[in-house]
Amino acid sequence: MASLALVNWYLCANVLVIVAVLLLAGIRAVSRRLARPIAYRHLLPLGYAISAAAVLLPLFGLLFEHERVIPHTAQVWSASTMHNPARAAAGDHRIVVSLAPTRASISLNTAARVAGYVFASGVLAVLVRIAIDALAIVRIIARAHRLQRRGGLRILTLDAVSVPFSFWIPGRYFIVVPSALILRPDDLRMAIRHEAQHHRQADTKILYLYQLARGLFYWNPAAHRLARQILELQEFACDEAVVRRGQPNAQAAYCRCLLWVAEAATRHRQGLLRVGMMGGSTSALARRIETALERPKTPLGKPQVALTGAAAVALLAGLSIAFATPIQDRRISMAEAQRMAIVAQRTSAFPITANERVLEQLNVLLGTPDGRAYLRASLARMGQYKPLISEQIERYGLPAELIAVPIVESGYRNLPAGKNPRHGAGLWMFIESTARRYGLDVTQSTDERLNVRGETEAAMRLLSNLQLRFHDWNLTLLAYNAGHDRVEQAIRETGSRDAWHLIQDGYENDRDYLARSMAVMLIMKNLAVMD
Amino acid sequence: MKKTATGSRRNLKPLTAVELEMMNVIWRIGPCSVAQVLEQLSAKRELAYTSVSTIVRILEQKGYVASQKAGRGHQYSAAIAKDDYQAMSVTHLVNNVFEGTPSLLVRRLLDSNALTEDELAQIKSLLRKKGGG
Repeated sequence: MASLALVNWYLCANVLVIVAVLLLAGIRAVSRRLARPIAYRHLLPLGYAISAAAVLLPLFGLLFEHERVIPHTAQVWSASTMHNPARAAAGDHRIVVSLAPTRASISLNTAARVAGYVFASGVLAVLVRIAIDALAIVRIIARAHRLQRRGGLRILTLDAVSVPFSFWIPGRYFIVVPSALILRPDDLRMAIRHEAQHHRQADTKILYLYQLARGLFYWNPAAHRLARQILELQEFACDEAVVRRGQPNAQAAYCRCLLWVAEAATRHRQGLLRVGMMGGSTSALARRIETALERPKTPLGKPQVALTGAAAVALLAGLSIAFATPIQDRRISMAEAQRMAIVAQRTSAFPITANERVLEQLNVLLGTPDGRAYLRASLARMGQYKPLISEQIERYGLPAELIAVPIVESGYRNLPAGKNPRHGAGLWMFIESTARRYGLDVTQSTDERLNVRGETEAAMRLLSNLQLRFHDWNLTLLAYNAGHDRVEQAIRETGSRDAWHLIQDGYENDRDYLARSMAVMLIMKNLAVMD
Repeated sequence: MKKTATGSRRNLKPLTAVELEMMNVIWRIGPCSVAQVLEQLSAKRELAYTSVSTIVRILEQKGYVASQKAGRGHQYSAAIAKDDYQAMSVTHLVNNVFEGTPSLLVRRLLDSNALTEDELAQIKSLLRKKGGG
């Protein structure tokens, strides 16, 4: 169940990443048109906040599992049908995906295995690419020549690179410049300033987080788009900082350097773990040069930017609640059954328990699509008989919970007798011999077992008698199904008066009758689980 | 002494065009300072002092140049003879371009370069010496 929560987080985060890309692109587009645009040094943290919110908020969304707006697209059942409880017990859990109007049901194990393989191979592919780049970096460090060394910062040069880039490994900052730049001292200075700014902004560290996210969400184009957008924002923020800090004529020199690098970049592919000077894409070059040459506008104030960020995060938070659980788990856990039992016992004198057998029946009834349909239909039919039956139960001074018995017996269908005399008839499923003993007329022409008032009164008397005999409601229910002779024999032979113990030893008529009754009583005391 | 030269020769990285330009200056004028190298380069190159100094320091890291402290600055001298570099370059060329077959290189040389009678005679005598020696 914990793994399903993880899957739900993942699915929800995938949706939110798409929204995050659109949000960020929207904010940038609007900002460009403002008289006071958002400065890139503020836009970048805004991008980080939106990314983090998209990935992390769904974790909190899991807490709001029940308050959802969008219908579940997939449900996990304990089995495909209530009529095959053995398979449910064997762990044949199913996942049903319904994208209106189609529905597909596959084994949960198969689905989990296939999804696991697909996910793992994708992540592996990304990891391999990262490893290849890491190796390339190691080779660069080995082959490069040192230009400068300041504290933890190493400036290296290499013939084989054509675009300046920087990277960080724990404890060490690197800037690598193409050796061709050495002949252009002005450009070299600008390139180093630019790359140093990347380190200052911690871009080279944050890069690892984004590559991790790309691996995790590798199949989602939005995740790659988001990472590219962030890379681009990092470049713009660096441009902004270098130009802002430089001399008045630094703009033109900086743009010359950008052009030179862009020309070189057309022949070069960028690695995954490095922040290159042409991060994002070369297509942004024109805009970068334009931005660098622009007369600086007064940027939007910090409070407004913070407000924008808060609004974006709030939107994502709302969506994370709406999409909280794309896959709904309809299976009942022991902990849930126990919680249901506590609720039931609070308002009941009846010994309602939740053990393994009851849990199995809860899963047959609540954890299968047709089990739920059966329950729902039975409860609806119960409506018309309820006044009469409740009145009779009260008259005989019996526990109100006994109204659950006809659900197990007949699903509240007043069924006529079948051909087999050992099979019962009516709501309460009296067999002929017992019916006659309790004064119901069963002949060729009449069957008083189908007279609701009559059969209910007979059932009340039968239950009262059994309870007088056994003084234990579990034994009484067992005897209602198996007959008092069989239960007495069981008690004699085993020396136990524990109904569950007798069932364990095989003294029952219909399999799991008592457990099914308990499950129905638990559900009737916790009708919210039917939603 | 020779051993270390050949030993380090294997690890020498190839020179870029600009580096070769600097090396040619250093081979020509012997131990010199960065300023002297800069002086010797053609006026059209317009290289900055810092660029030349950086390249010479890279040459030092690559093992082509050795430096000595001289007054306030450094004196740079070639750590590898021009002949050795030429031999290395030819070996590199034969191995990488002529599939390890020197005769291919010679044939290409004879094909594409118009050699004078004198030069041909020189080559012949060299070959005779190698073959007989």
